[in-house]
Amino acid sequence: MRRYRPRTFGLELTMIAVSLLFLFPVYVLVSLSLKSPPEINEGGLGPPSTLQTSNYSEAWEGATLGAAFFNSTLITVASLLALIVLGSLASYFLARTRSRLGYGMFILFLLGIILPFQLALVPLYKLMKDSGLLGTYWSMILFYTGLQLPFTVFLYTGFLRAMPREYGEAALVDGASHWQSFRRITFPLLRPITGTVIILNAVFVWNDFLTPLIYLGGTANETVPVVIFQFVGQYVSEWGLVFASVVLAILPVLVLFLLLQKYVIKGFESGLKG
Amino acid sequence: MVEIKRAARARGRGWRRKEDLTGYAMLLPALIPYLVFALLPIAWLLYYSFQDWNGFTDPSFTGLDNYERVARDDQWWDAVTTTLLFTAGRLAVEVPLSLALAYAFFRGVRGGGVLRTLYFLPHVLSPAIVGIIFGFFLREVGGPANKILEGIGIVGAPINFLGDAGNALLSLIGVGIWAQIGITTLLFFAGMLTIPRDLIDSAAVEGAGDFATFRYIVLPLLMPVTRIVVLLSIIGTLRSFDLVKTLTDGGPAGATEVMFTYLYRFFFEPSAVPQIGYAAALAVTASVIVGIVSVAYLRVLRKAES
Repeated sequence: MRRYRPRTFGLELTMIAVSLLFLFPVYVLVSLSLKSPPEINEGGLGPPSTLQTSNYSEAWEGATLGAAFFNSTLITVASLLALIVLGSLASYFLARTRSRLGYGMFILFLLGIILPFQLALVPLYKLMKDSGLLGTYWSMILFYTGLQLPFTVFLYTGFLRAMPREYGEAALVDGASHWQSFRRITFPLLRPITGTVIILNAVFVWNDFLTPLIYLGGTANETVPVVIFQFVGQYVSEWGLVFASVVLAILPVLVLFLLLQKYVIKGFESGLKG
Repeated sequence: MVEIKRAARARGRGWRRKEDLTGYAMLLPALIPYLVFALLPIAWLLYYSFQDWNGFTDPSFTGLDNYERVARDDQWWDAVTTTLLFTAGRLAVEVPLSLALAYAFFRGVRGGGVLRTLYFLPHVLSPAIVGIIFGFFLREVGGPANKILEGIGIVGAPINFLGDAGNALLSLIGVGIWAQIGITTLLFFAGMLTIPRDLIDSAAVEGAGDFATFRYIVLPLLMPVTRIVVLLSIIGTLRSFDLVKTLTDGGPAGATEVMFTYLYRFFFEPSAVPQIGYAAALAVTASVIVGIVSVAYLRVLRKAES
């Protein structure tokens, strides 16, 4: 084992100092969200003298965050379910096939990671409008499923390729069909990478701003980032309210991230190997 | 026992022609939404780039007119230059710094797990929200960043981080690095974890120091990972939109206009009639530029390796 040296201590101090660069803005964000308007105008960076918790209740009601949370949750969960089911099913085949066509399909999916898909927004807008989906939850769920499938397939396929083939094949030898082998053996083994798929896609879908602004703007189905932005526009000088709404908006993703973070590294490790 | 294994290999290996049908049946549910909601719209974009279309009336075919206009559009090429500067500036800091941080985590520091979580924190924030937060942070009057700098006496007068042309691009690069470095570090760290521990240990036995181990063992073995991580960073930065839109919106006076904020104006500028044909031509050009830079990067890398 490596010895603990003064240099290691110096390194640790540096690493902690760097982490302050990440923590400090978050601290300011939270502390401002709890200050009264006069105290914010004074401009001090210390902790709030009295906790102005009314910022939170005002932000919650003023930005109608309750409804927005419901919309965001529904869209995120439905998109994740579609991505997990469709992505893992496709990868079961893509990771094991030796046919040319199968390999071509894999490349086709990889293409989706490189192409700039913000651009798909406009042609899709027309498609959604013509098919009457504009402004509905469906427009968002279908868009995110199509958009994020390449990355999901990339992660699942990498993980499956790094996994010994024998696991799923033992079931096939015993006479199970591919469907059964997938459902009973392979899918449960995919748990760690599914954690990665959930956290990375959830962060993306929950935080996305441009798409819901264009597809849902002005309807009752608006998601959290859109609602926050309109709120920020209205209360631009009341930073206490603005930052309280921002803290509320990031809280769900933060909790999800802390719960699933161990899967992130595991997922990357296998993804990079594959 | 051997026979069973052989039988297993004979039956179970991969996919048979007959079974391929099952395979494609499993692939199809994913392929359809991907084709319809991702690839097809991109194909449409290519089609619109040869049309004059405002999004309301019928489009009309205009051949290469849009592309000729792209070639003559000085503002566009300024935005391309800014995008390339922005990307180069970010990568020049981000890659060495995240490699160093990842290596520190790899050699082991106390509380590494907690620190990694903190570094990764900005990634959880939406780029749009990062834009709002730093818009407040970097304000010239009363912004916390200037308060601190003045408080410890580094600067005499407040710095105009976002309103001055030179500063704005640097601020954007800094905030971009802040938001991105955690995930880059994490990717490098995950890559280092795949390096066999024996190699590191035997190097230590032979008396290699931390730096020598990094230079002669970790860096070469990490190369496949580095190649992909840097490529993804290049592509991601060239495609920047959200952060730039909310932090500077291309200002002041176009000093931080990047490719995607510029072409967005022709799609969705609320005050003007959309020029979707022209925006599509810009978008196609932007994609080609991203492609050229990516290929050039891989070429240079291959040359440097051999």
